[in-house]
Amino acid sequence: MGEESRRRRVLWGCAALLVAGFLWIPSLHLFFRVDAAPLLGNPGISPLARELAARHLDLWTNPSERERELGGMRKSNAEWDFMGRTFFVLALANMALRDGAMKPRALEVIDQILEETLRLEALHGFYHFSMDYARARPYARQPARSQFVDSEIALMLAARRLVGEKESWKAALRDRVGFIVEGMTGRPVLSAESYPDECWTFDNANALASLRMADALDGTDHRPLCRAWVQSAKEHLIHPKTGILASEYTLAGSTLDGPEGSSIWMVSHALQLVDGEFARDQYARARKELRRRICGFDVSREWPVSARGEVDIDSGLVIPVIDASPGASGLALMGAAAFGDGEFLSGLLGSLEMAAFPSRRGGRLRYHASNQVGDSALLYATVLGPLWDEVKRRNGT
Amino acid sequence: MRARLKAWLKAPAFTPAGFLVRAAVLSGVYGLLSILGLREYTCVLSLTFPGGTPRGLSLFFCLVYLLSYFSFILMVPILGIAAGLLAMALRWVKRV
Repeated sequence: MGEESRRRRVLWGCAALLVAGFLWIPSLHLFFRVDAAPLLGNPGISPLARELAARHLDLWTNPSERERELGGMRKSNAEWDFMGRTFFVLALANMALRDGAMKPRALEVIDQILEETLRLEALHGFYHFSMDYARARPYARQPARSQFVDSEIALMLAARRLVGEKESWKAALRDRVGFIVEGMTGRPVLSAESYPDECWTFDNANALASLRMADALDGTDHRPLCRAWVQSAKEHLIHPKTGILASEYTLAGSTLDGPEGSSIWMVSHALQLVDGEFARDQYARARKELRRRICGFDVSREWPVSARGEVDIDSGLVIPVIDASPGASGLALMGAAAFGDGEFLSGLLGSLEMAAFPSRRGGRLRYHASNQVGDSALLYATVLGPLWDEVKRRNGT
Repeated sequence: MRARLKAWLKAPAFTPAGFLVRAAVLSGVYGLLSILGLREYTCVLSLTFPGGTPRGLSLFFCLVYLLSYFSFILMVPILGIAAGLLAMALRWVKRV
């Protein structure tokens, strides 16, 4: 075969590959398409949520499997063990409200998680669920408390009581609410530390949401603190270019980390119980700055283009070139579901199907590229709604 | 039959048969790695490392699996479509 003929063959081959690429790449998303409508408009529990929940329920009935799963995760970040519990409890509470038949099983597992979490906290202190640097220097507040741990324990206790009242959890929630209010009141930006002189918007927004849940349960009124926090946040914590809340700041209100996808999606969801209008505004801004749509697949950035930060354990991996953050994308599912954003939710679920390696066995679903906290957050995103609605109904908002 | 298979396997890269052979090889590698359970190692993407395997090796398995998976979902169909397009183009060239 002559050189000319070989060259022509290569040329034709390259042209064929190029055309094939132009045909295939934009069509790929059609093979991973997930319809978000059953998740948003369905008052019951979707098959996706049931499959995801089945695996987590197994974990909480099989101690050795749980140890293996959580142990691997704790080696990277002890916080994830704790957050996985919170998301799963919130998911179970929503599932119980969606399907009354699930209530006894859900409450049994929620109680088990709460009892074990409180036992570990009593045994090792809140440090058990914190990263090691929590011990690096003293907390401003003495005795030291973590807003991260207090806020999520309060969320779990309140969620449990909203599904089914239990006398023995009343005092536990009252104490936790007391710690939260005491930690926030009188501080320059009305925020409590999660780590020494480090306040996280994620934790303070969750704390405020838990206060509103406590209001719904016990007839207290934390609206003045909520209003004051939102006012202070608008004045001190908003990133000037994007209008999105910073994610980390000192007790005095100096920003340590600007807007982050690993923070704002959950923050906007928690703020739905605090200030609906502000929450919606934050979601819309986050969507504008962080959403990326690539060939029909949706992902979330970790940082807005105008406010890039450093990769750390909270941001997780950031995939170069496409600038996608798997962690932020997982939490974006929660934001999209909370604000009924079907288009974004569908695109994110498509990305999950394509790049998170789902595995379905015996009615159980797991995503190999994820971990227990990631799957719990996803499960929560697929069922959230009824719990927040119940809080709003009881609070008359 | 065997001779025909050999001819296919030896087909030059930029021919319809060459494209299909490469698509089959990529599919085979992906299938083999999946059977060997390397999919489990994609949890490294969430910074979680499976117990019992050194972190470096887990990362290596994860990267190898990702490469084979994305080759399978991107390159295999592209090679398949390109093989069809090239075959049609060559037939058309022969006619004119």
